[in-house]
Amino acid sequence: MEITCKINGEEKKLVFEPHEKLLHVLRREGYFGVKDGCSTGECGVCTVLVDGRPVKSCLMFAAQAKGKEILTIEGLGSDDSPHLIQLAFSDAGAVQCGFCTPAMVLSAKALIDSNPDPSEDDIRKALDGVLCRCTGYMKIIDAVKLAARRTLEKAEREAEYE
Amino acid sequence: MEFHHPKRIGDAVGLLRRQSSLAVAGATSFVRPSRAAHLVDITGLGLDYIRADKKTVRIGATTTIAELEKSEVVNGLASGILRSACAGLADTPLRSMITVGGDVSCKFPWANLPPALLVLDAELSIMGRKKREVSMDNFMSSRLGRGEIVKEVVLPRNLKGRGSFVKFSKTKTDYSMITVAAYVERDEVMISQARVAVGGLCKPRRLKILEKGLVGYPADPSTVNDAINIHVPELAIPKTIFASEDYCREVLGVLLRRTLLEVLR
Repeated sequence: MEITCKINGEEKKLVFEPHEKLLHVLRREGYFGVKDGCSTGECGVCTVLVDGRPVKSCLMFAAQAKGKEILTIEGLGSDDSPHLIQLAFSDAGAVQCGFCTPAMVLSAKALIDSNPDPSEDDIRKALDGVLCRCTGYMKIIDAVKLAARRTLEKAEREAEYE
Repeated sequence: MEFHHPKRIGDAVGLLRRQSSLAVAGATSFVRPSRAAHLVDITGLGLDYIRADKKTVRIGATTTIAELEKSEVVNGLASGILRSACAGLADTPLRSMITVGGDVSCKFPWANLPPALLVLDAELSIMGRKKREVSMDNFMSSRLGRGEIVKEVVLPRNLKGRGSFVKFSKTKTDYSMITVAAYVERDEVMISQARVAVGGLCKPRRLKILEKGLVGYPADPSTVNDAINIHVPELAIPKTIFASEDYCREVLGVLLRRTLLEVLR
């Protein structure tokens, strides 16, 4: 079957079998930042944002992406121009093996977009669907705190210029 | 396999009446490959709503747990029992996928909403070739007909009592091993209405024998302790793979005591 959706701001036509999950279709299309961990909804490394909400793409049917807007880590920033949250992860030393990082960063983005000044509890709750195999959650929580603070500061600076 | 995206309820019902047809909403129960010939996505039917009038709150079947958790009107019901049930339900990305209708109609033992909805005396509105209403209690012990799906959950709004929900699990986001929900109304010093439900160990169900030990008795801790001490040793505890029967009975007693003392506070 065939659907159209928006991936990272770009209109896309996807062709797949009706039983296929979004994770496998995204990887086949070359979005390798969407990681394939457990494929059963346990580990969360396949998390992408669908219309701004974090979802586990290994459970969602690709067919359900029809007409939706999907954001993967490839759409957030690049090596030359990383997103503020990605810089915060790098500065806070929140990356070990990196396998869970795209899902952590996207979960953090969904949190900061809806709650610009999150408490540590809010951050822990927002990341509760993604497992880190290196067991280094403290630095990741620090990174999200840093990213939230920098996002607020940036918004304040932009407000001053206006 | 064919995947369908109906836009109208009538079309969805027609598709679901076919042989080997399954409704899909949050899709989180489709962990293993499905053998269905037709998958019918019901998220385009406009059933993601929470509507309140003077007497009822109506929650559409494809409302997600994340949306339910944010609803002020739902959180105001029976001391926020549904907020507790939602907060302990899976994890953040799953809560933005799992729907109210799915959590109710899959009837999984570990589901958090059914015990809470049982004690709130919720009604379900079912759509199919004919519309029908069924109480949550009767729904849990019956089956949906071919082509039928849950359309909405209807809650009474004029709840005067207090409610409480508690989940016991290995980690906060893991499947519930035991769930307990309670709702109690009091008339001066006596308990005038009590509903208690348990899940996790079994398909969520009311504990009517325990409720009888509460209604008409003084609203104090000794009533709770007496009812638990008399009835919990008598309950049939199903065999589970995670713990012994003694352990489950002990934990169930503790959880029942905690929720009931909480609602009588």
